Amino acid sequence: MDLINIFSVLIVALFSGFLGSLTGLGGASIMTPILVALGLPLKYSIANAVISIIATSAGSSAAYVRDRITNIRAAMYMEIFTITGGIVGAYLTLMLPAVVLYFFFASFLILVLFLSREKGSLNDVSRDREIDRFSRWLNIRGEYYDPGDKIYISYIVRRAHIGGPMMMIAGVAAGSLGIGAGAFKTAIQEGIMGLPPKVATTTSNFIIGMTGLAAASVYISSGYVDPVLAASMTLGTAVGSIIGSKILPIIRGRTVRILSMIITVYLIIQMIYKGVSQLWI
Amino acid sequence: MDLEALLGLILIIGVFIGLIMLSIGLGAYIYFHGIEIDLSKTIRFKDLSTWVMSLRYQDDVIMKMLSIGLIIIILIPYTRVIASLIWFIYHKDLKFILFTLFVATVLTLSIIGLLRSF
Repeated sequence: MDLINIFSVLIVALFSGFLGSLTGLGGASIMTPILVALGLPLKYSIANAVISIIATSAGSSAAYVRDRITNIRAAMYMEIFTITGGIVGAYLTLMLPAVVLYFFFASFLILVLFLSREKGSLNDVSRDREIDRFSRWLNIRGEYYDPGDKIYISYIVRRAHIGGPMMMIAGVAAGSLGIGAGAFKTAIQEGIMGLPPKVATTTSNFIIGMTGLAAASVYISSGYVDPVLAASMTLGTAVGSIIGSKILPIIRGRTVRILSMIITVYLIIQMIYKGVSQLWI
Repeated sequence: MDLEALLGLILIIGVFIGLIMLSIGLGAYIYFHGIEIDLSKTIRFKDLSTWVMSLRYQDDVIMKMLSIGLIIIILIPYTRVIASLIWFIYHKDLKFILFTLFVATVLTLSIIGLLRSF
């Protein structure tokens, strides 16, 4: 389908940005399967979604960077791996047939579903007292004030030699699927590198934009980036995520978790259905 | 100014200007061209730097505005890496000079299209 309606893209992007911000899934993970269902070719959707990720990442992380909750040094270290992964991932998307990407997308969403259920048990690593030699050499520390508990929380990055290469896998997933892969990045930082949840989430948001740029530079040369389509997707998700972040504090945590699970399961079914139907054509 | 305040400023100014340009550009596109996007007319650029260079010869003001808005947004992370690199050089933090230098080099090669042969 060569003709796409701007209003349908704007509405889907707005809705996805809103739900993505509310559930922590990110706008692009929700937007791509819906736009594909509406007839937009998968590779166009992935390539243009990458630009919307950069805008949402910059907008949502600015305040946390200024308030020193985001750990800039940890982000710089992890970006070495995520941008390399992002570029490799984008090249994979250009080389692989769409049917493989549908199944890869579904597999990634299943992993996100699993990570969101197992988040609590993954945190055990942060309680290790020993700090490995590499992390001691890196010496990435941080401290921030938590207004909820009214205390200063100090931490030090651990297991950086495992967390870094794991970030490359997150980068490949983000670059190839045109998503932020925030849930995966947060799980690595919390579960392996021992960062506090708030720091992990905000640092992940900050890194997502950089991975997006790495992947975007590849997609631009592929001819899949259309300025009008990219502008509609970027504006919609940005406005949607702002509305979502305003509503989030008044919604109960349990409601958010159930909503997130329902959406993820729907998206998994949608991607598998698309993949299977392509196999039969 | 500390690094966090500087980067926070780059992020917020970049996204604000970028989104304003996209809003005006998209509004004007809908008004003058209608609500359809024709993907068969998508222009293929060799790389991001070629897209930036092409703006000089772009006669369509609306497409020029959309392109500038998108390029500003795309270049926000690049700008913050360069700002971090300068900050780490000024503070003689060798470890992080090397980290940011690696990221800046890969991104620069990618932006000017030198990684396409990979």
